[in-house]
Amino acid sequence: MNKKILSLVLAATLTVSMLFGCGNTSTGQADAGEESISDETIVDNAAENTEETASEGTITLSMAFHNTEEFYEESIVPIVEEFKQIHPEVKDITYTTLSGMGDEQQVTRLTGGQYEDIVLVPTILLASEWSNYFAPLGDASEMAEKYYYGDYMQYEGQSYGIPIGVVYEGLLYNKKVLEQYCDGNVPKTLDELLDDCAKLQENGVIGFYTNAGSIWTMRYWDNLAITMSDDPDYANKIVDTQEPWAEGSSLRDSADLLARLASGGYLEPDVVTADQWDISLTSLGSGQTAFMFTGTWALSQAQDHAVEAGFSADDIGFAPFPYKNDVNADNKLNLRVAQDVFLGVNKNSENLDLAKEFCAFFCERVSLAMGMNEIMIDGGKNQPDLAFLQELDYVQTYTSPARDSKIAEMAGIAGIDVYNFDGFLLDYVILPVLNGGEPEYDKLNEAWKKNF
Amino acid sequence: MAKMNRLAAKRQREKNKIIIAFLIVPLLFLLYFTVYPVVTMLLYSFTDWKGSATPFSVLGVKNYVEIFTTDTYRNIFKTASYYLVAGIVQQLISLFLAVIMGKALRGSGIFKGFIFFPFIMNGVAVSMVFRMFYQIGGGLDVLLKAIGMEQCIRVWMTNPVTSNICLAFIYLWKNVGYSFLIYLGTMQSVPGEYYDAAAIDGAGMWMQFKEITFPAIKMIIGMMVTLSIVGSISVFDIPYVLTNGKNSTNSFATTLVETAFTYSRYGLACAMAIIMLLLAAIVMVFKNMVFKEENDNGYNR
Repeated sequence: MNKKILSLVLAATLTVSMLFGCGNTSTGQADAGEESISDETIVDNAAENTEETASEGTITLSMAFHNTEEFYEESIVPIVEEFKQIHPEVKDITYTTLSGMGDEQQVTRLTGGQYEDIVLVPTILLASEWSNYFAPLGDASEMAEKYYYGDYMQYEGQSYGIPIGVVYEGLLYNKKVLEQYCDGNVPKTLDELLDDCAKLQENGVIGFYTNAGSIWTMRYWDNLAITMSDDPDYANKIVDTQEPWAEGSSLRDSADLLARLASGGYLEPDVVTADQWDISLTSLGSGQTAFMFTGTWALSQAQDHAVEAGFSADDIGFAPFPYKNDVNADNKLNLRVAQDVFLGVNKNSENLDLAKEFCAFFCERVSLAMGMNEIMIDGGKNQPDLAFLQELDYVQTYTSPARDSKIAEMAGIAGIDVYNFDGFLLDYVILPVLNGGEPEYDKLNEAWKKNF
Repeated sequence: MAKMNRLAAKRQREKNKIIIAFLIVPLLFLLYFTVYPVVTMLLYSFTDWKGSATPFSVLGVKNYVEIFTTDTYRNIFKTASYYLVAGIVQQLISLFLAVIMGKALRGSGIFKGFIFFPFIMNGVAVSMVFRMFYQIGGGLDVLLKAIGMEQCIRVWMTNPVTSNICLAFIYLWKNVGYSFLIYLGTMQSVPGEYYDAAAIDGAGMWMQFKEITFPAIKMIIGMMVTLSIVGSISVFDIPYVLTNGKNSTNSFATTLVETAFTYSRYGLACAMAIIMLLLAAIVMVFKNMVFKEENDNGYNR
């Protein structure tokens, strides 16, 4: 009998503790999500007690960004302080790092409903979903007049994100290696580029480090198609094209160029293993690799790696991607001014207007520290290392208009992440070539046709 | 007498009430956290749901047809076959090790620890270690060079066959300890007298294994094979960390994640999850049918 009573008591305790457990968890979550409110309350109470604190701010905003805590201390805190001077009612802006968190996890955070006032917009989120999580930041055409790519995240005429900076897309190269094997010539035409790669290969230097295994690094090759097409709106044409990789299309030409580099043996030997970003930068910095095709945001990172490898930061340079021949002042190379990631504002934010203001304030100021150019069309500053680009008479810059939201949906149906991460280039272009075959454009076209 | 019966019945009713009262909370949890998601998943698998509140339309079995008619999705089954073979080899190796370790050998405790250790390590960490192991000039290349097999060195990850074999090996390596432990535990529960008697009758080691050990652990072998089949379909961390599921290494789980999150096709992803569930269920039912019958007629301790 005693045993029975004991087991009943135990069971009851367990059940009750389970319920307590639930209670605690939900309160905990509410605390995390509504930090601003509880802080506010505390400060309010404090303000009632002493008059000095009344002049201090009462509002706490929160932001989540993909940079590290160190970057926050160095570069974000000064921006926050500046903002607090304009808005004394702001007490603090808390920071959550999304460093190392993939897009999938970021979307899960959003769908879970517990996310910060100012937060990165995950690249994989469909445009039609933005309004479920983010507040509109203004009329898209007005934003476009003010910022580069100000209208890029537009849906039904409203902008949902502000870019944190703009970059150029082109070649990062190791000057030392080019001096040693290619007479110091930075390739200005396609033939020069291929010549350089051949010479480098003879000397055991990797021509291009694509990082294809990391997938996101491949998006520059699709953007190259826009660059090659001379039509800034080229990407959106895919919506009405049944065979985007047909003979003669720019998408095919850019992929063909990649295939040519692969068949020449100019790419890094292991294109499949994932997450080789740091290794690729070390390889470039230490002179084992000559070129990488990426955005200028990576320039400072590559320079840091060069210094770590015992070389000088000046050894790493940037050049427009030489995708054609006979380049001169009349036949200019297009250089894409590219968007990077975008910050949006939580539509359920307690302080929506302040959050919107801080979002713009932050995006206008953080770019240079991130290794990017500023987003303001009037008076935005460029990276000092890249000022020379404006003086080159054979280069012209361009920006792309907002991307059609249908592309992502069609990409989903086709199973081809075109104009997003472009992992398909590895499976359909690079690997078939490396395994002795041809790029599989027919399969790509066939998959895309499922949309029609 | 009637009064006593009534009392007993009353007590029984009260007992039932208590049982129900205590069961209701865990049952609700079970319903909400297990049954409800599975049912909604099944419903969503017939739609083109995009993962949030936006409206969706009903597609019928179109998602299921797509899975079986698209190359990328069909490749899942090919990938699973590599892990399946690895799973079977893993059973053989662990059975072999368990038989050896079952004897009281000197230092077997340490070896047991070594064999089991990979299983308790985090799957992502193991995958990251193996990422370095398979890299150019990594551990595997160094090892091959050391034993004079330089001609075998290649870029392991660029060929779809070698990359899948490499990945399946990680699965084998990591899980050998688990089945080893289960086999060892079951073997040790076989009374020693049987072996003593068999030894007196002149049975050798192989005979002892065949006539005593094997019949005793047959059920467990069935269970472990079933688990390894199910595991081979649902492997995720290894291909995700090493190759992102590229180069024909996409498993059911990596493709599912890609479909749901990269392409926002949650409806299709739900259909994949349902197929995965069905496959696991079929294997389980098959296993029960085969082994139940044998258990009735076979060795019974």
